[in-house]
Amino acid sequence: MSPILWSMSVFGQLSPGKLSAAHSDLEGISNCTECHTLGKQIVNQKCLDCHQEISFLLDENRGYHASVEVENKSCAECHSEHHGQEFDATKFDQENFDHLLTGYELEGQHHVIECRDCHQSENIANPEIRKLENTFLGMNEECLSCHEDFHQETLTNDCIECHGFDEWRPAPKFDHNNANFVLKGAHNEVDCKECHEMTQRNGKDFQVFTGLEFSQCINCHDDVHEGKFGLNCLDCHNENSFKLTTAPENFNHDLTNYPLEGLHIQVDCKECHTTGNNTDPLSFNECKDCHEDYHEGEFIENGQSPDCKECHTLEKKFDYTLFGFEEHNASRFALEGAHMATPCFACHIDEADEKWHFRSIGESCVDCHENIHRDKITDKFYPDNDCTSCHNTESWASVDFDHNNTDWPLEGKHGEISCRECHFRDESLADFGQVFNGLNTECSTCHENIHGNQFGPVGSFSCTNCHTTAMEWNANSFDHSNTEFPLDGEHAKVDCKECHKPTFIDGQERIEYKIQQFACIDCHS
Amino acid sequence: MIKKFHTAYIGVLISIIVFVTTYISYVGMDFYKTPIEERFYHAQYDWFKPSGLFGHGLGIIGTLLITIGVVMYTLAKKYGFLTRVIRLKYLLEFHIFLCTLGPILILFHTTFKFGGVVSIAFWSMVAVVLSGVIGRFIYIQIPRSIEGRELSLTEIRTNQEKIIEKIKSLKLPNDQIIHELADKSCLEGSYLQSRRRQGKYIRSLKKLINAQITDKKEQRSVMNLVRSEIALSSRIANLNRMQKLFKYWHVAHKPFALIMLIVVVIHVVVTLLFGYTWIF
Repeated sequence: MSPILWSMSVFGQLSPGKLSAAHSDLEGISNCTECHTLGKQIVNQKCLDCHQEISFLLDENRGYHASVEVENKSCAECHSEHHGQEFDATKFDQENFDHLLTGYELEGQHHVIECRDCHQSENIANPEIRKLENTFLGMNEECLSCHEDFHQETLTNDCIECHGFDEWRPAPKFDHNNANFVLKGAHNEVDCKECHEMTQRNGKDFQVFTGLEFSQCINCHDDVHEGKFGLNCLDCHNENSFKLTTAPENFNHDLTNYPLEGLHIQVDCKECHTTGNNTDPLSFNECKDCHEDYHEGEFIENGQSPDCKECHTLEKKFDYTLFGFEEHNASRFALEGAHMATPCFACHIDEADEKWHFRSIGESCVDCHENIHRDKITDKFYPDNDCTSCHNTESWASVDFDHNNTDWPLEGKHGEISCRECHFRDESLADFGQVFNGLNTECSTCHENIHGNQFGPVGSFSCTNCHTTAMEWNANSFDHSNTEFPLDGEHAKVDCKECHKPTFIDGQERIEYKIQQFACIDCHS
Repeated sequence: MIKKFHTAYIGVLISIIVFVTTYISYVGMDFYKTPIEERFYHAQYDWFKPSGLFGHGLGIIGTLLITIGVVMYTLAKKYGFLTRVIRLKYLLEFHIFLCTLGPILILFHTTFKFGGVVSIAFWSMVAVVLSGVIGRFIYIQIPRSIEGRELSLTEIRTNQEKIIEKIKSLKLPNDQIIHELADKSCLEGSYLQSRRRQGKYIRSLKKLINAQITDKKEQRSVMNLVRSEIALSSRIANLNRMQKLFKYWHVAHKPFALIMLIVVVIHVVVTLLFGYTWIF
């Protein structure tokens, strides 16, 4: 057996395996006692003599190695050797490691992330420990030792004053009430970025949290009123919403583009601001932007509907109109005569729907007035049911009819009496017993025969034998000379009644004109 | 020892080896299959590791078995220790048993870390074991007395003649078998050629015996005698060669054993020096 083989054999028994790469400088039979202590296996002190970083932590009573779980253990219990160069002597169950034993409890997302997300050399401040490959040492508890300072030194370095461990955004511990600008109302609902906008600083994303001007609303909010209402938005608005559901106290509507006038001043805001938000834009160019067109487009001409203000005023309700005689007379139907005294509703309210109508209500008399004559008058005298053939607007009673155009011109008293005296035979009837056509011209047609049959049967004599139309039914046409008893002497001066006295004729008392006996003694006693 | 007791004895020894090997393989399979770099973090590392309660125990027990086997056989061979009580042949078998089981236990003690420089000790042990197996083969090629003493050529020939006489004493139909047995041409040539020819030769003789003897028991009895005769003839033919080989074998087997002994001593001393004392 060659000496080389012998030495290898012996060495083989001395070293139970290759040292890990980290301890490779301790390979060799002369280095055994660098780690091993004769008779005592592995003594911690030898480990700590080299691993000053652990020794330091133990002296400081900090870190996992100073925890109760480790303090009474031998280093070799956890960190073995002689398992080959690839052996990782610091391997441990990272998934189930109780980080609290290190003195730094993992909370929130720190539980989720990989160990090496934090335990990496760039996060280690101590340059000596940083050199150690794959070490878990050298960390400190300051957030910024691992995390980038997003706020770029504009806020405190103690991140957990505001942030939690579950997520950076939002910062759950941050209480805006502790800030100079206390959030009220809708400000609590607003995304932080609305006020603390994202920007760039030093080539990195940056969110502005300090140095923000907030003394006036317009520091953040656009003044949509362009200064019209002043700079203090709170005069009208509040923090809950820019929407105004109630009229702000002392709100001056005159400052808006639509100053309130007339009855608008008394109207409840909601009548116009129907959305519940008084600040929602309203169109107000025309009345009908708010008001319903009562007339349902009656006045549309050439596709254009005139605005209400053509006839109505803000000062009074819609039942008042500016449309007067002058305007009416400028229309196709000028008001004349009795029409001028007629209330508007008489013509413009339709009984069918009890609504006002102003268009297409007709212009002829019978469109409004009842045509009581209907077919009682011939077309000759009542063409197209045109009342104006006889009537005028002054009065229905004022009939302007030339009876001379008929077959029976009116003479005498006939010219003075009301038409209805002859033409309305029975006013108790619905049509008044109108008779205009074929009316008999005999006097007795209209006049009562009070004489009975003294002068013969009716029709056998004419009233005009004695009476005329020119006088009061006086028998001025009668000439006593033509009788059997001509009047002369004192008889001509005697009142008729002295001789013609009432007596019973044809069953009733009548004045007797046909005196059969006219001897003197018949009258004189 | 009655043959069947001897067979049972051998069977028990083999069974122990098989059982121990199987048992340790089974309970430690997961650990031993784990890569060396990962074993420290295996749940049973402290149990199976070479310095663990179980692993260290295997090493100590294995070493003791080997030590006992070597010392016992060496004393028996050199100084006749126990030879009045147990035949050397059986002690050799027990030596083989202990020196097989011991290395197996040590094999598990090493947790199969026998690569590289560290392996020298282990391979020394393997060399001793393998050389033991070879030695055992050579050993049986050299005819011996019941006590295991090497027979002289004269003694061997006498034994051979006794066998032939036995065959002749059988009332065979004719002396064709005897005649055939006299033909030793099958033993010529190299060892392997000779073994091949012997197989062929035995098969032809078997046919002849089966043709002449109808009784099966008698057939087996004659065949055993024929085999013994051929084996003896073969060993006589190779005796000189095997005796030389056996001398050379001692040169190999013993030094390996010595190396292993020295290494074990160093290993134990170093282990104790560093404070690894198992249960003591």
